This record gives sequence, C-alpha cells and structure tokens, in this order.
Amino acid sequence: MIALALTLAAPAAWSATFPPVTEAERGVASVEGFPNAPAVVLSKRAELTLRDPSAGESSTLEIHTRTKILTEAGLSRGQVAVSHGPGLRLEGVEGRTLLADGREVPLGADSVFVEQTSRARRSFRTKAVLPAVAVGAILDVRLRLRFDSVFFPEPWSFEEPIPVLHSELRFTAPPGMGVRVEPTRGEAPWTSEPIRTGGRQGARLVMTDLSPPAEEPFGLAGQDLRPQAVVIPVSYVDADGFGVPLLDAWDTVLGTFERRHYGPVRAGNRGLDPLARRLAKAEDPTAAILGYVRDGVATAKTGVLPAPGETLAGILAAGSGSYAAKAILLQELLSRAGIDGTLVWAIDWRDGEPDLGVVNPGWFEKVLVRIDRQGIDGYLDPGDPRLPPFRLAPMQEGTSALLLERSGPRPVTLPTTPAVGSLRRATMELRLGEDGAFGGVGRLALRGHHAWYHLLTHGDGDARSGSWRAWLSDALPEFDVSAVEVEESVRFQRVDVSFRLDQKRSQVLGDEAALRPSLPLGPVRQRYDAPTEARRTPVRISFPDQDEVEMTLSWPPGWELDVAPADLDVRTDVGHGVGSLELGEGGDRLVYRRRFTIHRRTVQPGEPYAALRDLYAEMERHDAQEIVLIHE
Amino acid sequence: MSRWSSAAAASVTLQRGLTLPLGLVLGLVLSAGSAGGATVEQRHIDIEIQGDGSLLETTRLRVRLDTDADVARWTTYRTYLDDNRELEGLEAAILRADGRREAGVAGRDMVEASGSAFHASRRFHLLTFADLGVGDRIVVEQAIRHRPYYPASRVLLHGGEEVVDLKVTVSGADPTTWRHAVSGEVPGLEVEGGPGGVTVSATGLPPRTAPPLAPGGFDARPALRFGWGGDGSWDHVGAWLLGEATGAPKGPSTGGTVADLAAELTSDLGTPRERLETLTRFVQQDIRYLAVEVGEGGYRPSPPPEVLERRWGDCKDKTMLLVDLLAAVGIEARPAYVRSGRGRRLDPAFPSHDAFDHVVVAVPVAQLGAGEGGLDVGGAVADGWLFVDPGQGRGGAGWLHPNVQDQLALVAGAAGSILIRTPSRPHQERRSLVVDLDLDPGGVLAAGDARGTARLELTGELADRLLAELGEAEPSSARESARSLLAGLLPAATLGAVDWFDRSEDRPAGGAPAVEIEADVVIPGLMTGGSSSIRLPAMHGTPDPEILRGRGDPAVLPTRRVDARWRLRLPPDSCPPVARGAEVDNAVGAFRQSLAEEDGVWVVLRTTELRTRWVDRGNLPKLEALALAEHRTQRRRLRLRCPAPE
Repeated sequence: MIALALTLAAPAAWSATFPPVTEAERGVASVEGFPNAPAVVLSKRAELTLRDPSAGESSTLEIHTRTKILTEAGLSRGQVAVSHGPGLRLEGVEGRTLLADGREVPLGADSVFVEQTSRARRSFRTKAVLPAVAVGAILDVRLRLRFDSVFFPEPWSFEEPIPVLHSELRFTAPPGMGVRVEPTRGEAPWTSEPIRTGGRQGARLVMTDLSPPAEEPFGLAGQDLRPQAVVIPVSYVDADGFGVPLLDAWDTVLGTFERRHYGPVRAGNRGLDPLARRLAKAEDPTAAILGYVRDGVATAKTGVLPAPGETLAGILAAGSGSYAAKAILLQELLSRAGIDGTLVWAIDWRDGEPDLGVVNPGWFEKVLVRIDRQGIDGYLDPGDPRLPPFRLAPMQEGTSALLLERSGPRPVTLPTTPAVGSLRRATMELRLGEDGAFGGVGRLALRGHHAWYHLLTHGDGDARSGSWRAWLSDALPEFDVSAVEVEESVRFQRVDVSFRLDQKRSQVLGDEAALRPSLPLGPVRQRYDAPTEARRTPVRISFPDQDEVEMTLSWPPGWELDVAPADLDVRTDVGHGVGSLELGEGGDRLVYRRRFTIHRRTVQPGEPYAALRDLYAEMERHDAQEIVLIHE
Repeated sequence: MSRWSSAAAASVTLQRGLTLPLGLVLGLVLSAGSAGGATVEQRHIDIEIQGDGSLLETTRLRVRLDTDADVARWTTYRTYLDDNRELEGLEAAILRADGRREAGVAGRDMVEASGSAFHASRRFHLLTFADLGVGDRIVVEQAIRHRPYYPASRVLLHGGEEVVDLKVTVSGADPTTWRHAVSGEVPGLEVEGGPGGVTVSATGLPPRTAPPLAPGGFDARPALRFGWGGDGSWDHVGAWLLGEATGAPKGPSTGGTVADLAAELTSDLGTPRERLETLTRFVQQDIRYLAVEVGEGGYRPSPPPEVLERRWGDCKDKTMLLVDLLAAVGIEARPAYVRSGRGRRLDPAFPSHDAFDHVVVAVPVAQLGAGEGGLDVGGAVADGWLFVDPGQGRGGAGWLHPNVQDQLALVAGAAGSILIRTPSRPHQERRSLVVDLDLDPGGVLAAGDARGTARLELTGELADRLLAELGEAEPSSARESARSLLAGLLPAATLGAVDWFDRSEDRPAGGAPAVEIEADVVIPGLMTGGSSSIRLPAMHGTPDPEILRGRGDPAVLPTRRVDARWRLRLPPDSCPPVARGAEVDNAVGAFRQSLAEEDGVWVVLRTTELRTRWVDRGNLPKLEALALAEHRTQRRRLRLRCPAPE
C-alpha cells in the first residue's frame, strides 16, 4: 500500500490557524470584468525563507491560498494537487472549508492522499480533497515545502487560472546572503517594500486584481505572459567568513559549472584520444564526430547539468549520457580533431523565453556546441538524432542562447531557417475514369523542419509505409491510398513519399465528380477565429514554412469541366497565398498550382494579426472551392 | 478513477477516462506492442487456484523481434501489480540472434499516474531489455500471486501479435463451483475442460489489428473467463456487490442527516417524480464527482452520511447516497451495475463482478405513479425501471449519458438481481443545424455568395461537454468556442457575432442538456458553375462507408440524430433546384433527404438517425447501406434546372 494519510500536523509549530475571514471577503459574490468566473482567489500568499546553504540548511516555501467558490463550475477548485520528491519535499498540507452559514469544516487526514508517481525517482503527488465545498464557500489551503538547492531558482507566478484579488510573495534571506528579485522579463509589475527582521532581509511583493492569463490559442508560452518574479541568491558568506558569489553574474555561474560540474566530466577522458583519431580521419570529421555522439550515445536527460558522477569515459562505456555530458564529449572530440567548439546553453521557446539579463541557469533546456563554419556560427545538437550538422530544432531557432566562451558568457540569438527552407510539396497526377472515379499517383516531399518533424518517427520498412499511408489517408479522406514508398535522409533533412490514389466508391457518383484541389496539404481552415480587436497577445508560429501543391488532372471524352476555383494572389508581410488553374488546349486536362507561405515566427496583435487572419480567410475561401466535372 | 467510474464525469473533463480493472485480467502482455508486431513464439500461462482462494499465476513468454519497431516496443516489458497482485518470482533473459543467452535483466517498480482518480495501489514492474536488436528474442518467466476480491477472473488470449504456441491452463478449483467460458472468435483454439480446470491451446494464431470503430479494450479481444466460487449466478454477483459477500452491509439506511435532508429538499413537492428529480439533481450538482481507490475501496462505497458531509464521492458513493435519499421519501430504488462506455458490453452468459465499471440508480416506475397507466415518467425507462445516473453533472433524472445507454445493467437486490438492458435514446443525442440563406443578397457580395443565419442545436452528450467548457469560460472566450464549433460545419463561411444559449431548462429533449449557437453567416461561392449548382456542406451522422466494406468485426457507434435544414432563397431568375430524394430506413438507423418549396423558399432537409450502439456482423450490411446513402447523397450538388420550353 502506497497510499498514506499525510502527516498533517508535521511541524507542530507551523500548524497554525488560518487568518480570520474579513467581512469584505465574505461579501465577494462576483468579480468585476469576469462575470462567469467560477471562483476567485481572494488571496494568494507565499513566504520564501532562504537558508544558508553553507550551514547545510534547507529553505522553505509556504503557500496559503484563500479561494471563494462563485458558481457550480468552481466546485472543482475543491481539490489541490502538488508534486514533490527529494528535491522539493512536501512537509504538510492544511485546509478548511468555510461555509456561507459560518460553519467551518476542516480538511481531514483521510481526505489527503499521497500517490507515488515514480518509485525510482522517489517522486510523489499529494492530493487534498476539501470537504463540503459548495457555492459561496471559502476554501483555505496551506502547503509547506522544503528544498536544498538554491542554484536553480524557480519563478513565482502571481496569477492563477481564475481572477486573483490579492497576490503576494514575501522572501527573506539569512544574514550574509545577498539576494535580489527580478521579473522574468520587462519591468517589475509589483509594488515592493523591504523586510528586515531578526537579521534577515528581504522584501514583500504585492500585486492586486489580477486577471487570469490570456492563454489564447497559438500564443506564446504561458510563462511569457504572466507576471513572474524570481528570487536570485547572488552571494553568501561561507563558514570561514569569505564572500562566495552564487548567481551574481553569468561569469560566476560559468565558473561554478566548469569547476563543479563540467570539469569532472572532462577529466575522466580515458579512451577519448584513439576514438577522436579514428573519427578525425573521416571525410567530414565534424559530421562523423557529431554522428557518433548523437547516435552512438543515448541521451539520458535534458538540462544543463550532467548527471552526478558522469565522465566522458563513463558515458562512452555506458552508451548513454546526459545532454550536457554529450555536448562536452562532442566538444572534446572536435577539439582533438582540431576543431574549436564552444558550449551553448539553449532554451525551448515553448517553456518561455526569459530575459537573459536575469542570471539563472534554470532557464535552459539543452546544451549545444557552436563551431566556426567559414566565418559564421554553426551549431551542433548532440542529442537530437534527427538533426545533421548546422541544423537546429525549430524549438531553438530564433531564441536567446548563451555562448559559454572562454572570455566569458555571451548572449546570442540562434539562427533561423527561412520559409522556403521548410517546405511541403505535393505533386499529384490524377485522371478521371470512365466510371467517374478519380485515380492516379502522387508524391509528397518534405524539407527542413517539416522533414525533421517526421524523420525517424515512423519506424522502418512496412511500419513506416503503413504510418505514412495512415497519414495520407487522413489527408486524403476521399481516396484509398496504396503503394506507399518512403525515402528519408537525416543528412539532407528530407522525406520523400510516393503513393497511389483511387477514389473511394462512396465518393463516386457516376455523372458528377468533384475534387478539392488543395489536397493533401489543404484545405486550410481558419485557425485564428478571434476577431482582430479581441486578440490580445502575439501569435507564435512554430516555424516559417511553405506549402506547394501541383495537381494535373485529365478526363475522358463525355466529361466536361463544370466548376473550377478562381485564381488567388494574396501577398502580405506575414505571408502569401497563390492559386491558379491552367486549362489544357484540348479541354480535357488542367494543371492547378497552389502555394501558401508563412514568413513570420511571431505575429503581433493588431494589424499584423489582422493580416495573418485575412490571409487564412482567403486561403480557406480558395480551398473551399472544388473542381467539378460533369457527364452530360 | 475507481473501478466503477462515472461515465458522465468522463465526458465532462476530457482528462478523465474510463479504466478497466487491469488487475483482474491475468496473463496480460503489457508491453507497448500489444497490437501487432513481433512474433510471440511461446506464451504459456499456468494458473493454480489455491485453497485460500488466491491464484498463483506463472507465465513463460518468448518473443522474437522481427523489426526495429518490435525492438522499440519490447525494450520495456510491464507487469501490472497492486495490493492484491504481487510479484513472487521473475527471471528474464535475452536470446541473441547469434545464439548467446544473456540473463539477469533487472527490473524496477514504477507507479503510473492515474488521471483524475487516486489509484493508491496501482503500479507496474518494468523490465528493461538493453541493446535489443532485430532477430533477438526476449524470454520472461514470472510468477504472480493474485488475491481476487471475488472468485472469478479472466485471461486475455490474443492481444494482437502473431502467437506460435499458446497454452493457458487453469487448475485446482472445486469441481462443484468451477465454470469457464471463452469469449471472442479465435480460429483454431482448442478448449479442453476437466473437473476444476481447463486448458486452452492454439498454434499459429495470426496477428490481429482492430479496425476503426471496433469495440474497445478487452471487450474486443478473445478471453478465457473462469470462476471457482458461488453459484455462478447474477444473483450471487449482485449479492456480493451489495456487500453480503464482504460482510459489510451497505443497504439503504434512512436515519440521521440523510433522511433529514431528503425531507427538507422535498417538503413542498407533490409527486414522487418531482421528488426523484430534485434529489437526483442535488446529488448530481451538489456532490462533487471524485474517485478514490484504496484497496477494496474500488468496490466499497463510503457511508452516505459521510458522503453527504464531505460533499464528494465517486459513482458508487453518489449512487448509494441517492438510494438512501429516495428511500427516505418512500421510493425504494436500487443500485444498477453497468459496464459503461460505447465500445463495451458485458457477457450475460458469464456472471462475474468484473463485468462492471460503473453503477447508477434504478427506480421502479411503478413507484413514480406512472407504471400502471403507462404514463411517460420522462427518462430512460426499460422493463419498468427508470435508470438515473447521479454521477452525471447534468440532466437530472430525464437524461442518461450515452455511455450507459443500451447496456445490460444488473439491478441488484438482496432478494435477487436482474439483468435489464438500458434503453437507447438517440432522440436525446441530437445535432441539428438550421441555415437560412439568401442567394441574392445584393450589396457587396459576389454572385453565388449567400447571406443569412445559422443555428446549431446540440442536445445530450455534446451539449453536456460544451456546457462544461462554456460554463467556466468568460463570455468572450465562450463565444469563440461556440464560433469554432459552428465554423467547423460551414467551411469558408464568415460568421458574424456568435451567441450561445443554455436551453436545458426549456427541455427540448426531455431533460437532456441542450445548447443553441447562432450567428449571422456569409458563405462564399455557394452557387457556382454559372448558377448551375449548389454544394451544401455535408454533416455526417454515419461513419465512412469504406471502413464497413467487407467487415466482419462489430462496429460501435454513437446513437444519435443528426439533421440539417437548409432554407434557400434563390435569385428570381434562377432555375429551380432538382435534388434526388433519398431514403433508407433499416434496423440500424435511417437517412432521408427531401426537397420542398415553402413560400418561395427551397428547403433541403437531411436527417440521419443511428439507433444501435453495437452493430454486429449481421447488421453491418445495413449500416453500410445507410452510410453509403448518406455520404453519396450529401456529396452530390444540388442542380438548378429550368424546365424545357414547351
């Protein structure tokens, strides 16, 4: 039995009564501007108490939220769940429900459940189910968490998915520890007042009347939209009385990483030289070395930290290593082949794009290696088997990264691939049979990021053909797809699929035959439903790309073209759409061509968004048109 | 989610899903590659029924990896465990393609996240085979001790892979209580029964892949079911479920707060039906659905007063609370156990506790004052019982979630239990589109464009889901959700301001949740080809006919009604439309298209009704005929043809 009733009163000193509910809190029945709000957070208070790591003390975070249920839809707020494990330990949870009639129902020990999410990682999830939750009830929940490392500070969000009337973060640090608080980007949106108590110092940050995050479709990462504060320990005084820098500057962080984490990985390099000599003899040493590290050593974990105890010799022997250790292996092998490489800390835009002016190694997702490529930067990803040299995954392209140069860390923006570099091109050659059924052959060519998305993900042999057949069957719902053949190349970032098409009998009418010519890449549907005036945040597109369709269609005597799509030519700063139809001289053949290009990665609200929305609307309207042949 | 989970709750929150009690399915190969791929060269399962009622299950498995995909799928081998299912022995090895044997494969336990429920005891033992390659074989020998709550269990016989040598043996049962059955079709399966046991064997079982619309999970796969206690009757199962088997009575209790509350809630209500409605809505709306499974808690409900006090519970908690509340006002209702989910159904020929994963309330219609006169009590009535699901968030006593419709329900009673099929109610599961268009609107629109209004009416499950989503959204984002739904039915259309309304209280579908979405609309190029034809967007109620062609497996469908009414005002100089009428009406459902002129407006009406959830082989041709008629008719353009001059 893994289920345990959590020890509710763990630290007796902590188990305190909740602050009294004010008349103002009791009186809240709705939230201005949010008439449908299912509940409102009356207050969200966090207290971060940083301890001295040199004394072996761990830090604590105590969170108290007070929520009022406004509608039946808000009843689901009566459950809280928190994940925890060795790095972040849950020490206690308290709760109560205050009913509108004044009754108080405490959270019972038998309503708190602990579920182990990984025995190997010793991670857990605790869920507390508040009792007697009803519309009008006020819920108090208090959690207390403890952690040891202050080196990867987590940002604190003031918001919640429902309106928040009062949100505050108090933090204090022990004497001798230097701390500063930063917004994850932009200007600090909170009011702040300093705290000095018992030799400890810190601040109280307050925000009020917070709306829920916008969370619009196709938007930026949530972290990029929320007001977040990160409390950064910049220094502390060690046991000998010397000041020790922590996260005061990227130089310090890099020095610490080299000394504590990367240096030991490099030091264990037995067996590296002969391997490097062998790989350096390849026609393209860079590709050979990257290929060895990328494919020959499995990637065990992401992030910028190596696993404890990792060495180069160790990961070579195990055939597995962390992203960081693999990057160091790549760097060392390149160095022995005479190629100078620099480690790069890179983020994933889906996790948010923080301001690198805020020193926090926790921002980063993976470690790359940069080399000089005939005067321009070339980036190598040691952990993605779908990427050849000098190609980046779309999640990294155009994002801020940190070059760990010997002269000191340097922020850079990673390069991007233009739209024409990420191409989908469909070529179809179809003929209408005497029976009124379309049939023919097609080819689909994917390049760049579109190829990356599919490379190595469909298995091999029959499994790969089957997977693509399923993909094409979805994209061409009016056809039976057969004779699928696939070729793919990581080196050239390409996937080529050929196939045969036969119209399904349920679509065959005998005297009328219709076809949507944008298939299999269309028809485009409007993704941006929100009117321009309603869109509040930028649209984030995964990567710029271009779709091309060329369809040749012929038909037998007795049939004639009844309906054809009108030409389209829309060009905007965001992208363009072109569609045209050319009728053969004999009147029994046509060629349809269509191109849809999106240039931008980020599209701002207002006019740029309107242009994007209009472009999609035009494409949708164009793609909705059919080619219709009739038999008289 | 507890073993009996709420079908309605599953629909309210997408994250929620129905879970089968995996621990009760023995011998399940829990690799990722359970459907197709690899060759299972040997699968021998030996189950000994012990004197204490526990099972000792030993498995020997040898699998040959034929492709890279097999390697990826079989690198991790999972064994399901819980408090009542312990691993007593495990050995694993790799037989390399070159003949070498590598033993000593290490395993570890991993607890899997379990969605919205608190599955406190579920875990998997993971074996990881390192450096597998094509041509390698993996060998697993394991022993598991299983202590079932009820003396019955089952073994999955064919998960999907090609099986060269299959042998399943069950032994050790008391011959007087032993029973077994094999479900599903497996050509070449040999079943040899004996006193207190059975051996099932086969050689050369081909790989199986489930086609689209196939029944879900274990219900679709061949299995050996067996039991070794009780009298093998539904009465016995019902009695056990009611608590007699465990010695913990869970029957109605009418004292204390439950009775007080029932009296308070119904004090000004006259009829039993009104009291039922009020108490059902109270449990649906005021008791949060939340499932907790700790050990036998998967079967044992919490005491109703406790559920009432804490205001949360799972389906069995809510059911027993409603049963008690009804008893307090003089309505003697019963729990009714069902196997919920569109793709699931129980085997009535083999009574067992694991047939069920949900429980609702059955109310004798006679007690609602409507039985003798045949009055409509408004709700899901079958064989004199009204089925009510307190686990739903909406609908009161007038609507039963489709996951519970057309299912065999065990209406349990201390004096006996009966199996009753719940009714199918497609008329409450409606999707109805009404589009009123002017094809001669003038203004800035081009020839062939149409302007008008569109209204989408949803009732039943779809409305329930939508209301759950819209209820939490702010007005602007709710409108955008509604817009997306309508836009999806009208490709390329430009929608004006979109409004949505909760019409549930208007009861357009007998108490089922109901939503209406409406907007002004412009559809470009509706009339094309020199004003010769009109293509009306299709709205299908039937599946793609291609997946029904030559099909042998049953198909599982949502019972529902889909209709579209297009009202078209044509330009004055246009020719009248000509549409081929279509009508199919058979045991599975019906499709009809009609064209008529009403006061100068041409009305095209398309209606599809699916009446049967589970379409067996015998009815598949009827379903195919229905689907072909609907798809072909909706694909054809509406031709405008002037009469030939005289």
